[in-house]
Amino acid sequence: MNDFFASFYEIWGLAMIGQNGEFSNALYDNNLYQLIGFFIVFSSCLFFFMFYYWPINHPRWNKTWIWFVFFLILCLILSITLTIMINTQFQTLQKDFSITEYLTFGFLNFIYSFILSSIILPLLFKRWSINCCRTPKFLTFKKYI
Amino acid sequence: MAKLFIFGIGGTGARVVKSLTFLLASGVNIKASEIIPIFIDPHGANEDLKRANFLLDCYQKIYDKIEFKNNQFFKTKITKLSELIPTISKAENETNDEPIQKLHSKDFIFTLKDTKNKKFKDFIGYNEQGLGQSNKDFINLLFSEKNLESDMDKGFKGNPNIGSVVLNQFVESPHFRYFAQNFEENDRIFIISSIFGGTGAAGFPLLLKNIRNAKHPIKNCAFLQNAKIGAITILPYFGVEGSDKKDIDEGTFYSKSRAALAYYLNNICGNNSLNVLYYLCDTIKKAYPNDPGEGGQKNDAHIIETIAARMIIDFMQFTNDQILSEDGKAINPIYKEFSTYDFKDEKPMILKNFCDETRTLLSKSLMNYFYFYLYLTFQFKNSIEKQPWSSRGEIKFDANFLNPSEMQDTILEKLNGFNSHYWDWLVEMARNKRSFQPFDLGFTQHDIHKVDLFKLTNGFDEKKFITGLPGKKHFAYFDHLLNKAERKIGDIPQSQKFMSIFYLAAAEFVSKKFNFKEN
Repeated sequence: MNDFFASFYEIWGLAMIGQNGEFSNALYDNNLYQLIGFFIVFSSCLFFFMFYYWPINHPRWNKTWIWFVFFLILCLILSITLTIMINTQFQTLQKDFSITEYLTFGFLNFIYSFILSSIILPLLFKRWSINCCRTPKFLTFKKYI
Repeated sequence: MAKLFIFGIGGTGARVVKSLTFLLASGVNIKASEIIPIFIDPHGANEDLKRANFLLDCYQKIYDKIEFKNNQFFKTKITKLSELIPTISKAENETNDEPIQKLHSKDFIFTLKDTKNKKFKDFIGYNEQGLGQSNKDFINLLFSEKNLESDMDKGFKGNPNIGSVVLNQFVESPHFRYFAQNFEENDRIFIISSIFGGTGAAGFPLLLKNIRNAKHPIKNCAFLQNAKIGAITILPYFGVEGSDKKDIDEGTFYSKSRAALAYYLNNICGNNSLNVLYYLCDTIKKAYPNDPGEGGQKNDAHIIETIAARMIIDFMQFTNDQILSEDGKAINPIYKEFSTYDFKDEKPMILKNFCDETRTLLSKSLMNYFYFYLYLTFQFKNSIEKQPWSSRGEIKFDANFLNPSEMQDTILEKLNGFNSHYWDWLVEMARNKRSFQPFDLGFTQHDIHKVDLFKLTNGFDEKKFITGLPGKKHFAYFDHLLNKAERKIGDIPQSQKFMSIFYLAAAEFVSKKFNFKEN
């Protein structure tokens, strides 16, 4: 699984983080991609996506701007949490990286969690949500608009 | 199920039918295949009559647009007498002495002939040559000067002696003939009248006598003679202001009622003319402005009228075997009164004050329609095109549905017309004496979104359960139920989809949120 998630984060070797890809290599060598991947998949899928479309499933929360703000905030929190976790891991391993490398890593976390939780999963499953099946409108198959 | 012909005589008749219309719109169940209301009132400008006629017209147009697989609102068919098609075969029609002729009438009202701009004395030919002095003296014994000078198109102003003469023409009218032609063996008749006025007190015994004594060449006369007939006679339940200077005198209400009851004792009850007779009265009365006809006579709706409408439903619950007639007489006639419990005289009545049977019959339906009304009036525009129920699937409710290019005859337009009268009906009953306040109407358009909707039904406790986040209540909860109902209904024609999802949502809203067992 480490290889699988590494491929996404490194965009199949095209976007390595750090000088000569040191940051990316450190993540790979310490099997951290696996941890990051599962963390993002589970939090995005089970918490953000499921939580918005089922337990909340609120007729007053099904507006596009609320949806956007909801996922924006949660993905930001996820991204920051994950970056702090990795930073702690690297400190334990006595590896030192610059703030730019952490920011780039955090940005990638944000993008992937946002794409997964608010675009891919809703596109596939939101039709079964009673009150939010059309949120956001632009991600709704024509048949269901 | 059989047809039910309802004769609403006078202003009270019109108001009772109006109340019945609201009960039927709410989905209250009546065991009749269709209802044919016929108003008998000489006072054509009577506002109550006009309101009832308008409401029935709206009801019909709404009914015509919907089906009733998932919807109980407006589920009972209401038909104009002129819309019935006689079941007599063409051959029979040709060989019959009196061929069937189509009744040309656009509304539910039987219009009296030769009453427009006429005084009573002209109607009876008091001034005609050939009427000798002895006949005139006899007329003077029966009718006062004031009676003879009465304008016929303003009603009988509480004078049954005038009514009993003028209303005789009903039996000779095309309306009565057409009614007889359409009357089938197990069809039923219900007559609504007040006993303390003019039109009802005069019209009721007259109509009953003519039905029971129907003879050839009136078609279906045998069916009419042995028809299952119910009636309600309403004793004084309102007063009038400043009686002494006007044509209508409240002081005579009780004496007239006593006289009429004495007449009924021998001529209605005594000869078993009716299968079921209901008596209804109230001790608390509100004095209405004394309007002998000029002002249009628009009385506030009253709980008594709603109870009278409930009596019609009760009449239809009898089986055919329970109300048999033979040789123009009822076998074992039934006499009923109505009572309530658990309330004090000056306190407004609520649904909880009705006894079990009536409460069970009315509560859920009235509550369903009330919340449907609230949503449609105060939230509908805010949710349309924003909630999945309005925009999911092929059949949508969008701006075109809300503001169609041609406003005529859309279900929403008819509903809005009907519902404005529904609101008036609730308000009028609440402010009347005796006051009936099933719902708390003390909210405004501005604060309805902040009001706890579940506290608006007086006397029913809210069931406490978790509906998700704390905010998912009130109209948001209704929206949630509409979204749920829309999934169940799917794509069916727009008007039907509209009524179906709203009925399902309202019914679930009420049954899930209100505790009926403890009340």
